[in-house]
Amino acid sequence: MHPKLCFLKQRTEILHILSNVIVRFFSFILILLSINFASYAADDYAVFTSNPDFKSLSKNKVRMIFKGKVKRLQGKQIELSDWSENNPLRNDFYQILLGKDIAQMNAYWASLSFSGKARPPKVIREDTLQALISWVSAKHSRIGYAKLESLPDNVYVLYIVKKEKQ
Amino acid sequence: MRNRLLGFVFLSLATSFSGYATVELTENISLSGFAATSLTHSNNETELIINRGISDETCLDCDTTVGLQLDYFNESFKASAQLVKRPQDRWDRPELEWAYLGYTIDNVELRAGRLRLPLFLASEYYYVSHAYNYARPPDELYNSILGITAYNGISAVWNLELFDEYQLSVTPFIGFGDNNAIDITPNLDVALDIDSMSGINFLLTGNNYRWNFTYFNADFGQTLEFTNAAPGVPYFEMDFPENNVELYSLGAEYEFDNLLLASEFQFNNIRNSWYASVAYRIDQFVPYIMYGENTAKMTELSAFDGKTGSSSLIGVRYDIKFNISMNLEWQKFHSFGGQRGSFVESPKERDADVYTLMFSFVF
Repeated sequence: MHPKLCFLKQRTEILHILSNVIVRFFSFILILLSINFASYAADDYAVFTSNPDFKSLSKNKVRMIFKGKVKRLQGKQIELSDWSENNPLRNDFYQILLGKDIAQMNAYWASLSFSGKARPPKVIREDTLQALISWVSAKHSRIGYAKLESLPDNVYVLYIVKKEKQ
Repeated sequence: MRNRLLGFVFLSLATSFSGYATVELTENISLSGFAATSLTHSNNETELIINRGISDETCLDCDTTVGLQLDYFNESFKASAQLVKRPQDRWDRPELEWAYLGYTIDNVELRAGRLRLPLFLASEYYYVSHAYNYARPPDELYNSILGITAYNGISAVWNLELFDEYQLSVTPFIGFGDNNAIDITPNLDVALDIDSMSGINFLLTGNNYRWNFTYFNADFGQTLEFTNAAPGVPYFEMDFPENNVELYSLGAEYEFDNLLLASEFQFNNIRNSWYASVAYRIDQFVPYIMYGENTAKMTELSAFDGKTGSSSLIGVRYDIKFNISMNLEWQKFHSFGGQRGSFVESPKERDADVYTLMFSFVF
């Protein structure tokens, strides 16, 4: 083979190996990043509705809603749902959003409910995402919360409750 | 005995519901309830706290309270009834603490019927001890109008959202004729005939605080009914037909992470009172302290002017389950100037130590 041709072939091979290494390196980084993203997303909760007319909410508004202070959104009455007392999602959600555990929330809602100030969230007894989504979807006034990653595309996310990094 | 048995059956039934929160009877109707029972002991023979009557006999039913609430919701319409066996009631004679119809138009809710009197921060859930940290709301303030908690009339609740962070509820209310009988001691009952009452309540709520302000005015007649007050006098009464009470109250509650601070004052034409409390949450435990004071004003019924009573309280609440809690308290009461303070009548010994173990729950 002509020495020039031989050199060209070697250069192509080196380039090929180099590009392979670069592609693999970036793929590796991407995989790492995606694992990282997934681990954050797994801790996030979405407050959602089936009503396309509701605009997204601020953190303060969401806090006021789940403390029973805000009972109307854009002039329309809202209904809240909740997971069963034994579901760890419930404790986790209120800890992240309001810094309160399930016993504190229960005492708090007792003060509202037994003074006629607000109706406590409707507990979804089946305790499944499917049951929650079908309850929320049945009326435009209804609002629920669930893990963001578990939600289907046909619901509208009003706010994402993120766990603060420790 | 029959009452004790009835009580036991009722509590057992209620406890069997305790795994649930509210019982949804249908989509629109829900049944919920609350209960509390305690073991109390005082070292003073004179009974303490109106409607509870804690004395030096160990008492198992001085605080016993059971309430059932039935709610009907349909869009803007609401109907609600709450039946409560209050501490002073017999099991077979519970009281209808509220029964009203409500209708919401935009951000105003109109109510008519028997309603709860919104005087202080916890007035509207006075009987739900699971909802506050102490075993009982501070006596100095919450019994400042003889423990009357309900009225017959109408009210409007105007909910105003201020920015994203605050909410102001303005509640004007008007009450019509009503009768209340208060069993003060075995020898003395007070019959209160309320001719008319009116007032307005402002409640400002933020993320970690509540401010409460109330103005209240009532015209009432008062009859003191004495039974066997002296040998040979089986019954006599003293009638004070035209009285007026005008009351202002101001209170605030702040929450800083696990720390909860609360204080309330009330000023009326017969007496002033206030309390302050500090509570701190450590996991399922909430240790707390509280101090309260009463001052009487000179009126045509009483010449005394000055401090009549005070109390200091130290206690701890423990959340046994999310809907069951327990309180252990030691409260020291003092009375001054021969006045009754928090006792139901002027005591022979002016001080008392009260120990309380209370269980509360909601369903």
